[in-house]
Amino acid sequence: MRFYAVYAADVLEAARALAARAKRRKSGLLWFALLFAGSVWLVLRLAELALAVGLPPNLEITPGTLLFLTFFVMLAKGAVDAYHRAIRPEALVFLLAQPMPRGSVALGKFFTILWFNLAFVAGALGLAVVFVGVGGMHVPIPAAFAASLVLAVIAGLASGFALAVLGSLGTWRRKAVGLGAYAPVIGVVYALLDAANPTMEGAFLALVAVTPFALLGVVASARFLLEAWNNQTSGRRRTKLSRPYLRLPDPKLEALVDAELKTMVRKRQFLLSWATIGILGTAALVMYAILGPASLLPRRYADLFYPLVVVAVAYVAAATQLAVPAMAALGKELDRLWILKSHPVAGTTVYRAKAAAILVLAPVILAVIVLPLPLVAGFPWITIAFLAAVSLAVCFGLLALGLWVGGRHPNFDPNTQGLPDSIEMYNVFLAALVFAFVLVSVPTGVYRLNHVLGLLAAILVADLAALAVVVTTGGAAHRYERLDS
Amino acid sequence: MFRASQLTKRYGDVTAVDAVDLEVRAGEIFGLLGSNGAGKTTMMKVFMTLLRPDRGAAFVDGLDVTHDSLAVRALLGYVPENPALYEKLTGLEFLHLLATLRGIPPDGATPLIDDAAKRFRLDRELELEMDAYSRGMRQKMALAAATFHRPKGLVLDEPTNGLDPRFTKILKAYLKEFAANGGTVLISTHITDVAEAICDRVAVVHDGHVAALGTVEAVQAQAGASNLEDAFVALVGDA
Repeated sequence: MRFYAVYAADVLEAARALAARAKRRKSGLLWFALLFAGSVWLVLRLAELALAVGLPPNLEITPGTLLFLTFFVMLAKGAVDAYHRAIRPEALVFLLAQPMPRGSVALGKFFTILWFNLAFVAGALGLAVVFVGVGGMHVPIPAAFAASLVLAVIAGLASGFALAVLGSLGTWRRKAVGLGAYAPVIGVVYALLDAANPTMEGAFLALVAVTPFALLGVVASARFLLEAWNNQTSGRRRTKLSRPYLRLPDPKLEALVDAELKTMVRKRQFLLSWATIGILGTAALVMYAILGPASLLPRRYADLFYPLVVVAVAYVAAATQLAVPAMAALGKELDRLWILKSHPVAGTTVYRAKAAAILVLAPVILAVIVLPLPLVAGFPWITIAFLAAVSLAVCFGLLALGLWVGGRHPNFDPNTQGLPDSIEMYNVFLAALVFAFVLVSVPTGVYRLNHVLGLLAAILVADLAALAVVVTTGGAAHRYERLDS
Repeated sequence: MFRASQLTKRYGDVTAVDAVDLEVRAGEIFGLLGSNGAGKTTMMKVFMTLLRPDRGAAFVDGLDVTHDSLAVRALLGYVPENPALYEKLTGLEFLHLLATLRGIPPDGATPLIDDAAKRFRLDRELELEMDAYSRGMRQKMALAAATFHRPKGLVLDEPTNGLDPRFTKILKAYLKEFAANGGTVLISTHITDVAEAICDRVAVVHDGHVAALGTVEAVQAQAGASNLEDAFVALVGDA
């Protein structure tokens, strides 16, 4: 039961940190509750509509598909949580040095991750039951589906944990072998839940069978936790002073951007970002390959479906790859904030560098997510230009939102490496959704009246969103200057 | 060089520094002695513009730390108590970054960095990402970062932490040379031997107040003790 001591201490610490932040910002908690309830309602409403109106003929979404998607999303969440809680923290040395099996450390950390994520799922399921039972929404939630959802979350988080550890091993060969060894588990989950198109009960039984194997993955990967931790907290030798990645007119700005980019590249954050953007771009293309050209879709979907897919995927990429890092821009400095604050460099330069380093991913989002599907589908050039402009507006807008939140409420918690806590993250994702909707809907309205005017409106909105980046950078810099460190 | 006037800093209900008046002259090595939580680090952070005073004022070379923070930082070098570094940059990349932030062009930075690396015995360590540094290496890198640009003043918070005796000796010799060339050093330490060996004057800080101030001999005399360690214990109590 030594893993329980690790788990209990972790949960206690994280819960206290969360409580302290909630106490400082009571309005944030209320906002979170409203948004959480609103988003559960929205999902149920969408399900209600889909059941009433029907989906495009080629778009087959079964309970198994939904469960596999849940598994896949939680796999990504589990990997990120494991990286921040179990693999990266230097403070793990105190646990690794105790006379107990490393498996207890891994299990303790995994159960902490499980506890927090299952709390969200439990809350969402509870609200869904209230909306359906009391609110009279017509969405069936069979017990087998609810139980399967919980199992999919557990299996996904366990798989993410194992993949994060195995993907952090010392050499590329060991990484490949480790990830390859675990890949069959994911393949089996896909085969059982999606490809086999099981009944609800069949999906439940499949998850009952697979979840123990996923949990065994956590125990098995624990053998490699020490290697992963050592690899992530060790440095390489570099004999030459490398050239800056970006040439900029201001040498201080250039040096700071370069330090940010080098850190992101060497911590493999960029690799993760590129992979995420690549997966999202591929998913959009796969959807096109499955459903076929817009002309094959029912008329009510034909015009808007693919543009909406492109913008929705661009939103997901911008929210996760631009807004989230921007929220952590200051908090991630943690104990090394003294370096910037004890040198003669203005806060505006520091924050511009942080914004610029994150914004480097915006062209990647355009190139990998926004442009391929419209080009493959043969959209007219003006539609492609319009989609590029509104997507750029979303990128700028969400970056500005992240900078604003991160500047107002930086989180210096070493457990999350400066990332905001779950409640804040959730609030920002939903606020970002509303903000992105506004940024997209206004020019879209104009575009439907007149394409050229619509394109010009999209460019104007992108300009305004870029201005928002400049303004929020200045505001965050002002707060940074006044921050005691 | 460093002057505090009725300097006060609070953290919530706790007053870390309470109406302190202090002056450190140019060319002096000035030691701050005190138990944990006495207020030494807070004072140093105010001089480094890392904390804003709640009341009173602090000046560095006549510049107000609140209003001229960039100019103050340009004059000083700083080593914090626990120097966290950019773990994924090499030592050389880190020093070049700091040189750029100080407005030193690359061709001017290289000889300064070479000089500091030689002084603090950093050789192949400069090629390593700083993740791989031991505690002592981090401390040496922080010292090199604080001194390579030849500042007018140094603010050093427990600079001998993690250093071996050989390197502590090298550091003491460097600080004496630095002060002899007109530089000013504000240093905090728990180790009274270090203070006795290098400080021209010391202040014993206790509960946010200056309990005693003067040369080592004067502080010993004030406490009626024969060495600084006994004087320190007599002034702050042994509880």
